[in-house]
Parts: sequence; structure tokens; C-alpha cells
Amino acid sequence: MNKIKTSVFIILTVILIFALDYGFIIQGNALPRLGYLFSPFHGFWSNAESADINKFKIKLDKDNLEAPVDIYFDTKMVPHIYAQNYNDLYYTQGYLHAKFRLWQMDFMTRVGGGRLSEVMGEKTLQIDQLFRRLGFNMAAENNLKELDTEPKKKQLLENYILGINDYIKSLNTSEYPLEFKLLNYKPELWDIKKTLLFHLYISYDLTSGLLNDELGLTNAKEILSEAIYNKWYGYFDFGFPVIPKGTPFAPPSFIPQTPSNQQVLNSTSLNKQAQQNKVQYLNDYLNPNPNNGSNNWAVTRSKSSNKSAILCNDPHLALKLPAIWFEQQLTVNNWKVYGVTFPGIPGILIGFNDSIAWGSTNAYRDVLDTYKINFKDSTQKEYKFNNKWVQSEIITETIHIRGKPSKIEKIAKTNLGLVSFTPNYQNKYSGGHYLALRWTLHTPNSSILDNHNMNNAQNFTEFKKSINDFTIPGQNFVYADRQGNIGLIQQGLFVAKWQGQGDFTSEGQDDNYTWQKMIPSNENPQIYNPEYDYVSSANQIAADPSYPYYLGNSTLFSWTRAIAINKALQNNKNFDIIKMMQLQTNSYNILASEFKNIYLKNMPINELKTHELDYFSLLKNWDCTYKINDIAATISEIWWDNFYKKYNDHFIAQSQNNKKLYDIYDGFLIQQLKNNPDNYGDLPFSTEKETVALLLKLSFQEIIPNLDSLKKVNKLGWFQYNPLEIAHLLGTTAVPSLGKKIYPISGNGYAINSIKPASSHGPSWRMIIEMGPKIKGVAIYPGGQSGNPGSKYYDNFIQTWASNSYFWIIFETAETIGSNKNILTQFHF
Amino acid sequence: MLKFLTAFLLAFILSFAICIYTLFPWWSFTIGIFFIGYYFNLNAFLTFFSNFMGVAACWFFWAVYKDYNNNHILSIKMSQILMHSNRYEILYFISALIGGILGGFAALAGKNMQRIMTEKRKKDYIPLDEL
Repeated sequence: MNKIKTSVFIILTVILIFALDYGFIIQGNALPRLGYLFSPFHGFWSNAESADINKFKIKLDKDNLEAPVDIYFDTKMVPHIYAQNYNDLYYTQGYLHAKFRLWQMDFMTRVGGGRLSEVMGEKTLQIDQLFRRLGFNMAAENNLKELDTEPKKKQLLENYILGINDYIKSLNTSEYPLEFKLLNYKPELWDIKKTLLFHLYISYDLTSGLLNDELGLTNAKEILSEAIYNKWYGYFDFGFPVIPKGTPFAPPSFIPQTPSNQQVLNSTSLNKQAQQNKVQYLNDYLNPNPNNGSNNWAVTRSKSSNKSAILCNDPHLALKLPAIWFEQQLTVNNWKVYGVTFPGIPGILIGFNDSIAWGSTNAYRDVLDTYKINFKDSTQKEYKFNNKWVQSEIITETIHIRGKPSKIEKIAKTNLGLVSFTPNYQNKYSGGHYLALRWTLHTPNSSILDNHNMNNAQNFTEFKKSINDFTIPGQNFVYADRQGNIGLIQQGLFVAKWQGQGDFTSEGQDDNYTWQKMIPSNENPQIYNPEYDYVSSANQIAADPSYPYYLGNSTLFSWTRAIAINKALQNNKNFDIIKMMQLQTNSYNILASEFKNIYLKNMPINELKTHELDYFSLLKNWDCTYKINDIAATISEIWWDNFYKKYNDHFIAQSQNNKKLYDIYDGFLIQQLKNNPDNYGDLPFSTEKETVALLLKLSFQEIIPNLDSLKKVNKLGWFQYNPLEIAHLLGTTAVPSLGKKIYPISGNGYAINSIKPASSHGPSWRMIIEMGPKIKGVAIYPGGQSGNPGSKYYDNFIQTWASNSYFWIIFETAETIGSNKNILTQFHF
Repeated sequence: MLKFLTAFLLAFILSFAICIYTLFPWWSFTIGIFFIGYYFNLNAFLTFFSNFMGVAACWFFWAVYKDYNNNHILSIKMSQILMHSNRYEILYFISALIGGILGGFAALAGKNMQRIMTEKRKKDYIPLDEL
């Protein structure tokens, strides 16, 4: 007894240390180790970076460098790296990516690899299941093998990873990024597979929207009669494909064979399947943003006031903190390259070098098709194909869950693709069927190495060659050089399809609907120095039907930004950087303007009450530009939403279980209302006969109470109604203060300045480069170079970005950079 | 009183010297404090109090120092995450309290050990005349 009494504090102290150093898991949430978190020397306080730049340190391991390396940081904290060989260059780039963005890199590859639950617990299990079932690990392993075919370039990638790992190894527990401390886990060493997983995630983000498009339209087609489907989901042509109409195309080297039974529209059924009890809806949890898109364009000398080609690009992605982009200059023996890349991927993805500039937008070609598989039984071991039972391969994936036993996922692999969706794992449209995914994301490729050649290209031929094998995500690469040449190539691994192939889910019982061949790269849509002196793309369809291959469902492509850009570039001359800035941040919305034409023509104004007329008259003189405090913009937006909803709601009753059908296409609807109002003023499946005038009046009157209440709380201005929040990757509920809230901001999803506050989405990088005798450029992204929420460089660009301003780019040689007054600090190794 | 002050100062310096060397785990300072408790023969209350204050002051000071240099960028965000409040100063006190309590207990543990050792020595000591 006495012994216990005399040693009571020894025991208590040990217990106390253990308790404060233990990461408890409460209700599935991993809690931080309190003592560690609050120790000012080890915990979050040590992430409170000094605002004093002199305290900023970089330590490269000289043993891993072959020659001296210099790094200059400018006032934006953009590193300008000067190396003497590529091994050193990528080593340094890897080190800096890790130094600034390690946690973000870890998180993104955990998403792609289905390993979030290892650290986040059961709440992220659905995300992990989704990515496992989509076959990301298999795809990454295959790409890993593919890299062996290019050992020289693979070596560069390995040096990049060596740099990342040298940084990780240099860390002690006090230096771990904040999020590791909050979530209580340790950074693990990087490898090539992680980089590949991140690249796959980007491909997923930019192409997987096709899945819901295909399944949703299959549902719609099945429920509606063919006539009604064709009426409401018809072919859409707005006049401005990426490759302008009239451009000649060479005849195709291959003509895909259309199946003889011609069951395109009745290819398969998704609805009539009994629902099972234990159903998990996978894809609802993490849908790619339907607004993913981008703008790019270039003009020749004759359209430029300084007689130099100008190239502009603004990729639209989900806006998060830490920002998705990292900005840097890479220099080897005075060959300079500048731009952004995703941290985790070496080289420069979008940018310019001493000779050329390039940028990209998403092609959104249909590279994902679904097939209904007929398995013998629920073990999925055998499926019927060409009247034979064929063995499938079962892939086993183990998901480790923090604080819980692991979960095993079994995915069947057939010759038509991975069976990601089953009766137990459903997508909101998949209806309990076994669906195999044929997706170019699963095609082994070494696209990750393309950056290197692209960064070193000096002319259009070299540029074209550098992206010749680029597979996914298919992009519209815009090009400009200092000789004044411009060009555009839609590059990716695209399927040679017969008309309508893969628009809907297909039967997987025979090879009638399988992919026959890929389109050779040199037959991809492209254009070089066109006579009208500009090229542009904004996620619209690549070409008109004179292009010899089928380009996919015409209604799935964007259209408004393409019109706005084409008209601006057609009608103006004498462009310079300032004018391009104004164009890139232009908030004119063509959808709103077309809608305005329709209501000005059709609205029965004499039937409106005075109060309603007050609102309506605000719209009359509106310029359809979404300005910060614009009240008309808010009214137009709410009105259009309600008007459009009226159409889509009328399809609901027709579907099973009152499920909403896939929305009819806004561009198509607007076009029909303009050209054919009598036919499209009548709502589908309604017993009464409506007219456009009636629908306009009803939809307008219905929104008046909403407008009144917004007015009362002073939220009728566009930005007040639709404030933008840029959240941290961990979300607004878990760590609201790590995000950034509400900026007075203009723009609209349909405008060139494509800011979509509701979905926190928009121009994730704005870049304008004038390729003159001296290369000049401006750029900005909503975020900051540092991924550390405790750094003043974490979100310091956002305010400037939100006010449509830019920063000048510093692009200097090793000799001149030292005397640039915007250099903050420098390191020599 | 002098002994109390010396213990306090020593706790402050020792915990700082150990903590600043961040290769050691965050709790390593408790070993140093343990020896203060062991060698300073203060009563239980003063042992706890001097070391509590020493470590707490050290942790408080370093938190304020880091926060001041950081212009409160992180502390405001952290106080919102942890307490849904903008009162970032509270975080100094939480840090100080955690360090202090651990310091105080570690010192008491040292004092415990000292007593165990003396009792053991007493037991081991066999008077000469009994030989």
C-alpha cells in the first residue's frame, strides 16, 4: 500500500503522458494528440510561420545534386530554379513541391488510391470504395509498368521523387504540416505510383462526368418515347465548334462498323431491375463538378497592338485551399520554362518557355462507355459473351479503416471493362445492374512524362510531337510562339466510334457495341495559323459533323463561353495584355442575354402587377453582365432557374419512383424557344396547353416572394446573393476557418469569367502571355504558394484574383534575376 | 523561497532547452523536470507549483513568441476550429496549462522516486555494530 502511495505520481505522470500523446478515435473521428498539438515547440504553434522572410529556410541535400543549383523566390513566393541539368532541376522541383504542399499531395493521392479511410476513419469509406471500384490502383500499376519503356524520362521522374522524399525525410514531428497534426498521422514516403494516382484523379475529375451523362440519358431515353426523347434531347448546333466550320478534314483512315442490328436507341434498359435491400449509392458521394471547363485562345500578330502573338488560358476547376496549382520557373542551362503544375506532378503543365506558350481546356470527348454484363450468378465469376460463358478476373482490394476492421472490395474484370457498379454498389442511375466501365483511363499510358518534352518544345512541330501520345484527360492544347504562329490541337486517346456509339449504356452480351479502334493522333482535330488570325476553345464540341469521326452527344458540351470568345476575337483588333485581361474577366452571360430576348418578346407585361413590374423593369436595361452588386443579375438568375425547372420537373412524373430525369439541355432549350416557340412553349406531359408567355409569367410571379425576402435582408445584389467560399480540402464543416469566405466577386458560370460561387468553382489559373521579342505575361490563381494555413502565403492571391487583377510574371535569366527588385530571397546549393 | 525560485527558473530553462531540440518527442522535457523534482527537496505543493509555473511560463512564452511573429494568422484559425471563437489568446493558456500540469506531475514523480530511493537506501544500510 505504502509503495503505491509513494509512487502514485510516477504512475500518474506516465498515464498523463500517454493520454496526452494518444490519438483517441471518438465516433469515427480521429482526434489529435492533445499534448503534441498544443506543445508550442512541436504542435500547431510551430506551423505558425514567421512573417519575416529572413526566417524562411530551404535545405537541399548537396549529396543528391550533381551541380550547383540556385533558387530565387520572388515576392509572390514563386521559386525560380536555375539548374545545370534535368536531374537536379526535377530533384529541386520535387523538394519544393513537398516543402510547400506536402499534405495536399498526400491527401490527393489518398483520394485516388482509395486510402482516405486509413487516416480519416469510416466516414470516408464511400469515397475509397468508389475509387477502388473504378480501378485506380490497377490503372496506376499498369502505367507504372508502361514507364519502363521510357527509362531516360523515368529517371527524371525518379529524381523528382527523390527530392520529395529528401524533404519528407528531413522532417521531424514539429515540422509536419498542420493537417497531419490535426488528423494525427505521419507523412509517408512518396513513390511513382502516388504521382500516377494523382494524375489519374485529374483524369477522373475531367472525364467521369460522362458516366452520369450516359446513364442519365439512358434512363431518359428509356422512359420517354423515341419521338419525345428526340424532341427534347435533340442535336444541338450553336455555330462555333473548336475547329471552325468549313475547315477541311482529311478522310478517315478507319471507318468504324455500325452494328447490323442497329439498336442504337434501344441499346439497353437500366430501369426494370428489382431493387435490392442492401444498396450503397457510390457516385452520389463524390460527383465530379459538372461545371469543369476552361477557356483558351491565342491571336496572331495582326490582331495584336504590339505585333506579337498573345496566348490566354484559364482552366476552371474546383476552387480549394491549398490551391490546386503551384507556380514556378524551371531553368536548365538558360532554357527557361514558367508556369503551373499540380504539386505531385513534375514539369510545367500550363505555361511558356523561351520559344512557345501553351495552355489547355478539357475536350470532354466521350472516352467512357458502360456495358450491361450478364453474369451467371452473383459471384460474378462467369458472364455471357458471344453466346459463351467467359471467365472474369476478380480483383481484390483491401481498404484499411482507422479504428475499424478492414473492408474487402471485389471487382470483376471483364473484356468490356471493370464491373464497378453492381446491385450492391449503385450509381443513382445504374438501377441495380452489373455495369462494366470501358474507359481510356484504364488504358496503360506514360502521359505523365509528356510535360518534359512539351516544356522543351521550340516550335509547333516539336510541340505536337511532345503531346502525340498524350491519352487522358483529352485536352484542347492552344499554342503560340515568338514567330507569331498560333495553333490548336485536340489531343487525347479518342475512340473511333460509329454515329451514336456510347451515347447510352450498351448491351454487353456480344461485341456489337465494343470499341473497334482508336483514332490516330494525326487525325485529331487541329488547326495551325488559320486565316482569321485566332484560335480558341471553351469546352464546346470539337468540330461540326464534317469531321470524319463521331464526336459524342452534341448536347453535353458547353456553348456560351465559346460564342462570347469567338465574337470578341472576331470583332476586335489591337489586342494587348490589358485588353486580354478584360476579356478573360468578362462577365457577360449569353444564356441570360438569349433568355432576355425571349422574355422581352413574349412576356405579357400588361398582365403583371405594379410590384412585379418594378422587378421586371430592372431587367429591361440590363446588359446581361454579372457585376458585383448587380440586382438584375440576381433576378435573371433566379427567374431562369425557375423557368428551366418547370420543364425538367414535368419529366419527373414520367419516371419510376418520381425520380428526376436527366435535365434537358439549356442551350438546346434556349435555341428552340428562340426559333420554334410554338412547339416548345408547351410543357411535356402536361394536360393543358401552355405557351412561352404563360410559362414566363408563371415562373416570374412565383419568384417574387423570394425576391422580396432577399431584398429585405439586403441580399439582392449578385455577390450578396451568391457569395463565394473557397474551402479547405477537408471541408467547410470540419475546418471552416482554414477556408476563405466571401469576396465581392463578379462573374457567372456561363460567362467567360466563369465563377460559380454555389459550387466554389471557376478560373483556377488565369494566364496571359505576349510572345514578343521580350516575353511579357500576367497570371494569377486563387490561393497562394504555401499549403500551410499558418503562412501568410497560404491565401494571399485570393483578394487580388477576386478583384479581377493579375500579377506580372518575372521571367529572367540566371544573370539578370539577381538584380530584379521583386526578388525576396535566394539560396545557393 | 530561493529554492522555489531556483526550481522555477530551472524548470523554465530546462524545459525550453529540451523542447527546442525538436528531434526529441514533445514530452521529453518531463524527464528533465523529473530530476528537478528529484533533487530539489521541496514539499509536495512547492514541487508541483514551481515546476508547473516553470514549464507553463516556458510554453506560454514560446506560444506568444510564435504567434507574435506570425501576426496571429494561425492562432485565429485554430481558435475557430477548436473553440469556435476568435479569442486566440485562450490557446496560450491551454498550451501553458497542458505543459504546466505535465511539468508539475513530472516533478512530483521525481519527488516520489527520490523518496523510494532514500527508503531503499535506508533498508540497504546495515549498521556496523550488527556485523
